[in-house]
Amino acid sequence: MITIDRLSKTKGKSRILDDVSFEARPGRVTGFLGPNGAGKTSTLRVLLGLDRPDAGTALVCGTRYRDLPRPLTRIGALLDGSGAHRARSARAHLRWVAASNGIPATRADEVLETVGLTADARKRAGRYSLGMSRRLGLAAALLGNPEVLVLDEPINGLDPSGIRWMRSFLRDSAAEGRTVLLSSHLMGELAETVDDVVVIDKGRIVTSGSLAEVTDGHRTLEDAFFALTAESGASW
Amino acid sequence: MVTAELRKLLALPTAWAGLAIGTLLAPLIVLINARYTHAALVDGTYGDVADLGLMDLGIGLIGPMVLGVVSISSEYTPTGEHSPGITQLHATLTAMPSRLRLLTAKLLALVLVVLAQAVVVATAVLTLNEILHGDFTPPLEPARIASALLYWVLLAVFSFAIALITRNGIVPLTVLIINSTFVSVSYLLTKVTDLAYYLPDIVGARMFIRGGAFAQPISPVAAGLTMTAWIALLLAIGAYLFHRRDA
Amino acid sequence: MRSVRAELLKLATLPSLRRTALLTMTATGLLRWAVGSDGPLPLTYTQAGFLIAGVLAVGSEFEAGAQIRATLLALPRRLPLLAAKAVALGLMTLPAAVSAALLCGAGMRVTGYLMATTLLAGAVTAVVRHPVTSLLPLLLVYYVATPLLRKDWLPGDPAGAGTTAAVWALAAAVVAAVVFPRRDAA
Repeated sequence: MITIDRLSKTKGKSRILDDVSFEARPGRVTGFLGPNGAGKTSTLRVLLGLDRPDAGTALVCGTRYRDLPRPLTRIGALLDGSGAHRARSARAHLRWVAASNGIPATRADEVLETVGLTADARKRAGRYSLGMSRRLGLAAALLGNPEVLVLDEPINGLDPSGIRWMRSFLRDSAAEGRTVLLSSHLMGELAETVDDVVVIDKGRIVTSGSLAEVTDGHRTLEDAFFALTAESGASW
Repeated sequence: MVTAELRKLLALPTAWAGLAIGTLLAPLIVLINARYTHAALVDGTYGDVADLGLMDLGIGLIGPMVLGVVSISSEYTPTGEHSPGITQLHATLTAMPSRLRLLTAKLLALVLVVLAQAVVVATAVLTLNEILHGDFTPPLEPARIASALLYWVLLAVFSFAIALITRNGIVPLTVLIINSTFVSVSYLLTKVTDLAYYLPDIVGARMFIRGGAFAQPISPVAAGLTMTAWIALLLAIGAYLFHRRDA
Repeated sequence: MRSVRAELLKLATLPSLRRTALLTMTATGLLRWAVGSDGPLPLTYTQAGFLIAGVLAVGSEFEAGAQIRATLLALPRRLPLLAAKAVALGLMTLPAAVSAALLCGAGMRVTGYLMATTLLAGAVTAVVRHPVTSLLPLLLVYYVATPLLRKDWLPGDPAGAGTTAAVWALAAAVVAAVVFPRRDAA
């Protein structure tokens, strides 16, 4: 369960988050959609305790991220890049991450297997391709077998088979009862994956609800998205 | 192309630090030391008075060193965020695939910036000395001042070449700064062998410094040529490696 | 201590730190041999290796792939994280500091001085967040200001009072402790 409540944040002179509120519930995939620069990543960074909001709260399972004692066992996050230092092997990276949250070191090899990086486990992260880096990032998110998953643009940098794999991974995770929140600016790729939709534009929530509710009266999610963001003059 | 490299260099915060430190440090030290220098000049313990002013330029050499190193090291700094393992160099090489032309452009941009800095610092230091110790300042010798400026530029190119060979900013910067400010390793080596007098950093100073504890007599022209030869050699090695290595 | 263990693992798997340690020890040995006597001279060079180690240990967080984000996701409470980093860095530096001190015929005071130097460099880098940019002011203080001004309150003289560098390290750590938790992660 993720609860975002009236988040606001100003950077320099621009208001990048303006009274943002929404929820992501267990057993469902929630798509957090909006054009580039709409405030998706900023919201997720506040949720994950990386950035501070000016006002409002973001809770994971009813608790602020930084108050979770072993956060990786409750919530796993995939942001852009792998978070691994370029000189370290994927395995060494996952091992220190595991150690930091009291997760057994054997989990490192398990999650490498899950994301299909076993053969490249000893390679330096700096030599990874973009797609491999994303998979390493996902492996780190899965280390603690968390009940909540937060993924920022998860299909960026993936090839078609990777996208296919990611879709079924997301569906399976929700089917296991996990809360899945993913951000994306690619509507077409996600229509068949998400249960709920939250649309953000220029730092404000434009609409939220189930996929059926949001697309009601529009041919596709993509059409609905353009219709909803067009009046505010969203540009790609 | 040179303009692009000039812009890139001047967009780096560390380059600005190098510019500021290199420009302000030498005049600042002249001011701080003014009293001691004056006392030494009065009782005749200064050393070779002909070096007054030129000697003070030395400390500012941190400027050209920083500029030379960051001009290269910034290319190897990952652009982070969206691109693991991708460095500015990838973008640069995509925009400018001929590597040797790229190096030439970088070098020219560096030389322009450092030369401008050297002129400013030399003017400031010599003027300050004229004001502070007017009675003692030696007559201006344009040739020696030009040699000092040349030394600044050559040292920047030297730093550039070292960074190019090591593909790293931290280690060359440390070694160069320690070598120039604290007791120079090259100077220590002169105690072991006289050949050390021909190491690039100390031989270069002989272009414009007359006094000092130099056992080996080397003429200014020979000194300049030796330093230039060193730098040409290091640049050639660096360029060869840069040409051959994967980005 | 999970966080200290994680930070130790991180430092132990950073190749640049191993190279720095090796290079520093080799250079110290060679200088000691070249100078041919006891005294602080080789240490004045050796301390540069300890500065670099501190800069690299913390600077690696802010390099490629933005490791700092993985770090903060794993250990979101920032003050305990800084403390764990300092402890881990201290533990890693100890054997190197002892060897360097012994190699130069010095004792406990110099060992402490070298460790304080590394911690100072680490704290400065935590504030500046860029390896080369944080190294520059450190080198200026250690190799320009200290020998030039010859003031007791400046760190940078291995033969000076052992406490000076420790006080500087502490002051830098306090600044880092104030600044780091308030900032958005890079």
